Amino acid sequence: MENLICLRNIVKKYYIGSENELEVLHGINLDIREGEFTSIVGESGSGKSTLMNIIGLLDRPTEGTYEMKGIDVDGLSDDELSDVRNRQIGFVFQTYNLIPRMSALANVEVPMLYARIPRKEREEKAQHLLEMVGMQDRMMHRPDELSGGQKQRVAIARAIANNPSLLLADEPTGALDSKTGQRIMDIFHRLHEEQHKTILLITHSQPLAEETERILTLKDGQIVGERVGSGSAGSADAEKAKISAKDVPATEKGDSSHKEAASFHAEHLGADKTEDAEDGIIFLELDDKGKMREEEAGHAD
Amino acid sequence: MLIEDVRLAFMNMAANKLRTFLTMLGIIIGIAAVIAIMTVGSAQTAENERQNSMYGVNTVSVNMWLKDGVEITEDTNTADLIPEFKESMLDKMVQNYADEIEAIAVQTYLPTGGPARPENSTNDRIYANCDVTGVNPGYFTVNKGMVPMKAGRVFSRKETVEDSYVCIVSDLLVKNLFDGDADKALGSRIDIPIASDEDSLDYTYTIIGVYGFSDMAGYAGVSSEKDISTTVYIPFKNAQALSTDPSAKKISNFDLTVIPGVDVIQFSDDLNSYLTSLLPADTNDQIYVYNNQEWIEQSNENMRKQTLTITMIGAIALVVGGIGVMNIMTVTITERTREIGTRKALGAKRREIRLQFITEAVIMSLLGGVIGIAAGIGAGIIVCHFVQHIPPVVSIPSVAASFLVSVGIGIFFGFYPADKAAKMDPIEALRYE
Repeated sequence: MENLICLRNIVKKYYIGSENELEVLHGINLDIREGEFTSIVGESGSGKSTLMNIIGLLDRPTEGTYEMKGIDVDGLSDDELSDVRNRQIGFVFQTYNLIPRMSALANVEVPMLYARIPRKEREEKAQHLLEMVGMQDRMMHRPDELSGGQKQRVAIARAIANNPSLLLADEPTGALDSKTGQRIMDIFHRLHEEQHKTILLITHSQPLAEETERILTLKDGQIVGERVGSGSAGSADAEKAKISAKDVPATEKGDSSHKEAASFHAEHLGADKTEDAEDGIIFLELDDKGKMREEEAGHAD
Repeated sequence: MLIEDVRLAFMNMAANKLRTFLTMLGIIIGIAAVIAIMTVGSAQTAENERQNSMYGVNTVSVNMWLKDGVEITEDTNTADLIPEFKESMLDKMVQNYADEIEAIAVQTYLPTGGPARPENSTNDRIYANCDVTGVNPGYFTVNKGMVPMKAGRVFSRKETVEDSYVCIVSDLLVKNLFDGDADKALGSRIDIPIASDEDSLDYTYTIIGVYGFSDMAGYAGVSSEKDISTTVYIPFKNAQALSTDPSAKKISNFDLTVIPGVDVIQFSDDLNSYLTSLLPADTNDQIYVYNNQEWIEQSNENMRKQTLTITMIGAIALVVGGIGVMNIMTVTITERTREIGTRKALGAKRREIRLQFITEAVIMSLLGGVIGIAAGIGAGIIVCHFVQHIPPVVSIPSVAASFLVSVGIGIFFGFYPADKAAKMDPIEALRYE
């Protein structure tokens, strides 16, 4: 697979030239391949937000090179970066960052607005995306009329509106309870499984990271570890197997991950609908009962 | 994009109705003040032009006044002090300006003691309120705009000089006394009570002419048409004979019209010095000649000054309003920092953020402008109708200018906050609490 992004010796310093100059990232090297579901785990202060801002083209590194799809993005102007963000990167934030006073539908349309997509097409696509995340009944609701989980689903729909190359999720479940958080994670899994989205999850939570294919640990501004997560078991390909064989001792792949993978498969096939009905609503394809959807909406958060 | 920005602007304004209204107030007041004064001003101009066409641009008014500072003692006979154009003086003037003067009008008012009625009528219901003015035949030439003859004839020279009891009445009087039948009125006789020192005496006049009444004083709407008082014109000499007022015996002012083509303002100046030169050296009197054109120009000039003053007040209100818009946009942008950060993360370019907030500022000030225009037209109509008693005329150019000014204010005062928003750092904006 192609490298989608390629970071070389990325250094980020603040207060450059002053006495309290602060180096947050110390030469990060990172490749993310297309279709990969990667997580970056780190404690607060590890520099993961800074790294995410750089990967998300919201910030520029002090040193180092950043190539996206083989193109060096260092030389781009602010407005050109906006353009790249618009088309190549989908953001999912911990705090959702939906625009208040605008309906869920209008929120999903925003990236398409900046991509100059005609109004009708925009509306249709936004509707489709909201259906995909199970929000078809709340399209005209404004953010303050939605629960946290619902807001995050709208945010995900918005993030994938322009069909970006990279989905960048910064603590997407950080503000949600574990059950709702898991449902949001399931959406990411499905985007990865079914649409082969490249996803980069930034989190401080080890368990969440475990669900992904590839886990990078960030500590004090450096990547200190890389290993294979349980997520790779579900869609193992030769390359990932190679990484796992190389980087991760076999013992690290515990039984639990196999179990999770198994349940993931079962759920995916709709086998355990009775036990785990609520999860089934996340994708329209799997949702055959409108009633379940209502149940979900009724007691969400 | 612009459509979305406009829709968003309305949504955000609707979410902060009171704040938006208070912000717009400065603009509303500024625009309303200017539109109101423009409405009154154009109404005034239109009215001036209308009066101009009635009085005639060629009309000149000549007055003789007592000089300022003439001492009046106990011995002074006040009747002697009444200024008078002597016959000889008028004759000289007519000879001197034979090529310029078209007609001369003299008039004297007589107090009446009640309404006019058909001769010997005892029916209380048939009456016509009137006032009485003695005039010469030239009066009808000079005032042909205001007193247009509709039937019959004006006084003959003989009737003017010989104290005849003939009269020229309004069509309204004919309507009241003769069912509007002018033919029936002509030659008919009416009784007019003319006040003397103690009481009033009925004098019987024969109608020889009918003129069209025009409601210059704006009685219509104030009283019923039936009760509007119109002027009955009688011969000048006859009025002088009946009057008990010593000043009525003397001509102290008259109007004249010049032949078309004569420069009225030039003529007035010339006439003023000519008549002054005819006065005796030890005179207590002074001549004052004025013409309609000069008056209209002065009136327009006054209107311009008034308009300028109120426009300046309006401009100050607009600047204050604009600063209000700028202030509220700064507040809005601070409140919506996260939204701006989000939009930037989602791919908004600087100019798109800038356009969004400038649009919001423009919509706000434009809405203020529209409300201001409506309020201004309303206020203008009220002033015209109830204060000036003239038909209001909405000044279209000033309405158009107000639209442009509102948009301009939005752009000008919205630019700085919008630019600030456009240049925000997306990371800081997203982190903003």
